[in-house]
Amino acid sequence: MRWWLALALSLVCARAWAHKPSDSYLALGRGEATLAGRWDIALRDLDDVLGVDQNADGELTWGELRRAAPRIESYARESLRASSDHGLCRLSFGSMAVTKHSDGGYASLPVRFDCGVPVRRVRLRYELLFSRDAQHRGVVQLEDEGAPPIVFTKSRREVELDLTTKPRSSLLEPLALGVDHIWHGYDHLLFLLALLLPSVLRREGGRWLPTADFRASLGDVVRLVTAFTLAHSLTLGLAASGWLALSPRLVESAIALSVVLAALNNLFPLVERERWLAAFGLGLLHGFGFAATLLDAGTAGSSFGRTLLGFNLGVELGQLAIVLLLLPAMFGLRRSPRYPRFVLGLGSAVVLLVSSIWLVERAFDVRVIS
Amino acid sequence: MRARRVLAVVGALTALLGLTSLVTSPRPARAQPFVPSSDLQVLEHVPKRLPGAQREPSRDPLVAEQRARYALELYQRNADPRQLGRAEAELGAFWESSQAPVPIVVLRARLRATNHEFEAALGDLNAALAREPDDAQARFERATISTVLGRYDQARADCGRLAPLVSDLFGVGCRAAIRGLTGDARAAAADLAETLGRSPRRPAERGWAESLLGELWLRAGDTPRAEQSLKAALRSTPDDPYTLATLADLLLDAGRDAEVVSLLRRHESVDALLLRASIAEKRLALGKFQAHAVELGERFDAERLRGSEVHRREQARFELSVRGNAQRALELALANFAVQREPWDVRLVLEAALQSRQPRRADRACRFVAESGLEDPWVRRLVQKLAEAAH
Repeated sequence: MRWWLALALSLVCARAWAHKPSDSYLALGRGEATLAGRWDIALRDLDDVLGVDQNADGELTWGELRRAAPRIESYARESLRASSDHGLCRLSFGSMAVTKHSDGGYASLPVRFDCGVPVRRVRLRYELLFSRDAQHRGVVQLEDEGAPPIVFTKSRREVELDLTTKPRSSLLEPLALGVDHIWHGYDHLLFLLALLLPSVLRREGGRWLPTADFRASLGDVVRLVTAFTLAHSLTLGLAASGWLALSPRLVESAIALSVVLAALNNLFPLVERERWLAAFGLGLLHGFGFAATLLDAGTAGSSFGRTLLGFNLGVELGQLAIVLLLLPAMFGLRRSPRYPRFVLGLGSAVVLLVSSIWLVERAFDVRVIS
Repeated sequence: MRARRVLAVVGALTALLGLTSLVTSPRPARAQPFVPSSDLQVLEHVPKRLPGAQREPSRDPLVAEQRARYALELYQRNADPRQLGRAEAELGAFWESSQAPVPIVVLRARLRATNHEFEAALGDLNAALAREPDDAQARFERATISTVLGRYDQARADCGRLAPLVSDLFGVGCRAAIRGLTGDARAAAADLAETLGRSPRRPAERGWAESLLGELWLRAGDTPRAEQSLKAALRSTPDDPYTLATLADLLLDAGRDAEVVSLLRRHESVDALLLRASIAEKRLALGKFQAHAVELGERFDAERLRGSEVHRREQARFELSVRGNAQRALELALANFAVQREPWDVRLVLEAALQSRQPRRADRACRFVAESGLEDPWVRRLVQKLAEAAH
């Protein structure tokens, strides 16, 4: 692992001090009475104004940033105001995270303006950093992707947003995101594969035998998929609405571990009858992963219920498509004497290999920020 | 029956392999917010400083000027654009005022010129010189900006007025910079070298003059002497981004790509230098090229997002030499040429027009070369090639 860490370290050094003019990035979604989203402010700027690097050693750590969170929030509160005809909109912050843009680390603040009653127009006033850096700009990206951003400058500090022209939140967009996430979020795909491969077999006296008929296989698949779906829907809902939060690194590592375990169980069966229970337990984890994708897509401002519903439906549809694709083929092959060794054995071995690499990568955090 | 099964097994295995090959393709890098797992994780490197260093801009013109000047010096040393914004902020209320003291107006002009607001900068300098005709700094700034814009008569007149006000080195250097662009580079270089050797100089002065000397030798086509002068300049002012860029260009033109990589190794935070390093890395097929190209692309994207057009010259070169998109490079180079007229501004138009096979679109640049007498050997060669291509 040493060379990996060394590489990570050299990345840190090479990227330190990247030079770019100072910008903050506001990704906002428009609701009926709300503006909500994420505000990314460069750590260098925050340090410059608030002295976040308390021990002045030139290295800004997560601990220092966390301790400065109240000061950062009150500075942010002074610097960004939204008001409607009914007066100021109430600003609240979610718990701070960090992210990275082309020039280094940023604090990422979930922000939410609540104007109380549905309004047509909101005036947004931006004052961050101008007295310190006259070239600073605030780049606002509204939810409709593709539209050019609104840019706050020293001489343009106020804009008016129309809350009624927002693109209607559809079920289709999050649905597509959900399908896409299953098909391109390879860890979920591999997990499903590892779960499904043994479904056309049954275990008897330490040997794999083909299932008697299609109903038996289908029953097994339905149990597994239902358990997995129920579990991940539960945690997806909880995490996406902010009730539960886990460190993404922990979640990502645990998801990789779940794929490792599923593959291992195919090779050295331990759980046989209660595989649906395992699917449920691991599904709880995957829900957190889904939630991260959903939140990252920046849909926080638009109608949350529809987005969640659409995304979850998309995930299930994507999953169903895989089952429909794999099950008939597996069922047709199940009687072949090669199925246990080649399809199940080799397939699980490949899954095991890939997921182990993920596990190591994620647990040791090769994607280093800054 | 057997054959069908074998076929099915092969099919299933191919599907599996397909899946795993998908896995190895990298996921798109997105700025996902995350919560670090340890309080000790270092998120960013920031300047070390004394507590309480931060304060509001001063209302005292002397203090404001001093602080702004300091920020500008930091910018010139390490090319960090945040320092430009700092300098502007330090000038605070004086930024908009037409009654500001002359030194502040001149400083404001310098900041505006650095942001490529050349006309506004000239406006400031005209006003300053109307009030203080003998302000050497203002004369020098106006000569420099006029040179960049290709207005050599104005530049010559200002250098003439400047000479009696400053040391011999600045007087000669001011004129030499124009002579170097208008067909008299060799003699100008000889004059400047002679003046430089006449008496001992401070390192900053030396560095400036040697760097200029290097450029003059380049214009004159004397690469060995140019290299010698630029390296001497780097001994006086080791990390000067401008000199490093000029030397890197010389090495790139000579095909000495490996030397470019080692020259710029410690300077990749400066966009203009990272750009040159990437060109060398691409030619050498080095592994870090990909990451650097992506990083540059991200920085230019971020700049477009904020609505800034300051670095079109670098962007044009990026499209031309890193991404190999001559069409896009030509558009950027032409937009840049409408604002700036230094040899590289001209050269990029010519190269992009040649590579995108649209020699006609370089007509204005070619006319400028003919009228100004610009004698850069690369520019000359490209003009020749374009003339051949047009026939």
